[in-house]
Amino acid sequence: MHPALAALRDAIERYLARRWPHLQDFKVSNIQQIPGGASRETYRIAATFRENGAPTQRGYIFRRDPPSSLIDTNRALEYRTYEAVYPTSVPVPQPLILEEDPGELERPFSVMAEIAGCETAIPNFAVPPYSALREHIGMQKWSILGSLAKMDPAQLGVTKFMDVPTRESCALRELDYWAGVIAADSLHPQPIAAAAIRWLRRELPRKAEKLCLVHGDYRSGNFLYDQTGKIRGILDWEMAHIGDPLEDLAWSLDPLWGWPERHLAGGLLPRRRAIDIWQAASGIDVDPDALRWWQVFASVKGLAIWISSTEDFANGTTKEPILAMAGWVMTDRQNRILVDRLSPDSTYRYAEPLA
Amino acid sequence: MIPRPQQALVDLSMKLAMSIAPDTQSAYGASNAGMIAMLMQCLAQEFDRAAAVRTQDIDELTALFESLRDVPPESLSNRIAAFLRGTVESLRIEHLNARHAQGMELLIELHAWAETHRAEELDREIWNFLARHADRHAYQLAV
Repeated sequence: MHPALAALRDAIERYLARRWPHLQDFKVSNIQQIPGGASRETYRIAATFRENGAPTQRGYIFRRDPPSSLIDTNRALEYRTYEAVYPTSVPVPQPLILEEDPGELERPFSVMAEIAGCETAIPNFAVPPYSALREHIGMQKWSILGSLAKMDPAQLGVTKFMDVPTRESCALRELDYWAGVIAADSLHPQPIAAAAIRWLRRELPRKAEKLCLVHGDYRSGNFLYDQTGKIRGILDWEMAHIGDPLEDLAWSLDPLWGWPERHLAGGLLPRRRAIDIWQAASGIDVDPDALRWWQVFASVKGLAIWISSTEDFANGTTKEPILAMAGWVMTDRQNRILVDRLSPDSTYRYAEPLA
Repeated sequence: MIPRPQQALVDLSMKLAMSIAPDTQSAYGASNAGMIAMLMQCLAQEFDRAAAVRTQDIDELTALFESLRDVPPESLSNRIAAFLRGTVESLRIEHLNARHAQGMELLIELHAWAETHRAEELDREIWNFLARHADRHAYQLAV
């Protein structure tokens, strides 16, 4: 084990033993860094202890702020969103600790219960045994998203710590934010992003059908599924906010998340089928023009994240390969998707037109 | 001079992906090694084509600016004319990037102008250029 990882293991063990004094003989028996944690350093921890005298083993997920990140996000907002969603039918890991004091383990962190025995990888969907479970997984994926759209943000409690836009302003608020990221972080002129942003400003939807809790990164790769294809946890709520339900739907349908099988949304289902499932679960009839707007927006937001990660890799301190991977490869793909969506001579190579 | 650097990068990336990554003790290390191998494939492709794709973009931008039938406002026209009088300082990527950036900044302004002045043919020409530009900068990867 790398000495730095061993030191972190010991520090976490001391912290959790102090934080949970009712658990006796608390030991961290194993720690592994989980690959792909782009916005936080993520570690899987196995712990042993005695609880009420009985020997117990349990897994935890430890997420710590990195020195630099793909997405600049608010850890407290993410943690409180997990707390709000955990009691509902939307499956998420149980949030246990939010530690904002950087003095404890160098940087702020959170701890969640591990949902064991699950996968997140998209390529699995193309090969057995998961290829036979695509319909089953896809059905749950868009049903869960539809049920999230149906929930009242005030009843969920997220209006206590999230800004609440109006139905008229939510689209412009998101556009302004991500256009600002592109303006701030571009290392080279971005004519495709610029054209797409102008199109979005011209074609702004008048009013959202309703407001809901938007996950902000709802896609294949961000949920845990087990070997039976059951979705056990929706992850990565760091971009959660209140907004238009179509925002998450459009993001989930972006061709990027099914690459190279771009005809399948998220590598799972034809886009039309995914929309039908979502409509049935949410009770919302999709306005095709509004969905088209959110689809273009989704590609612009994606581009903003990839441009930002390029900048972070070039000028930041961590030099995590995932920042370069996102920055170089995803920028190229997202640019092609945007041209495909907006060019008057588009042959729709990357996604069929839905509106 | 390193002979055949593109091939060297591909070979080194394959070594990293096929021999070193599987021998790495942690999933995190193996994943990072795999990603670095894929990034080396991108670098190999970029090494081979960097000057060509930038030059192609600049040549097509130049042709598009030279053939303008719609006349944008004087301030933009003057800057386009200045761009057309300019040349690239050398074939170093740094210099090609600088000239490329100048052309792309002008293209962004010209495109915005075309959209608001019903210059539909120009708008179409620009989108077609952007499609070729996006395609020629694409990385060919297995995943």
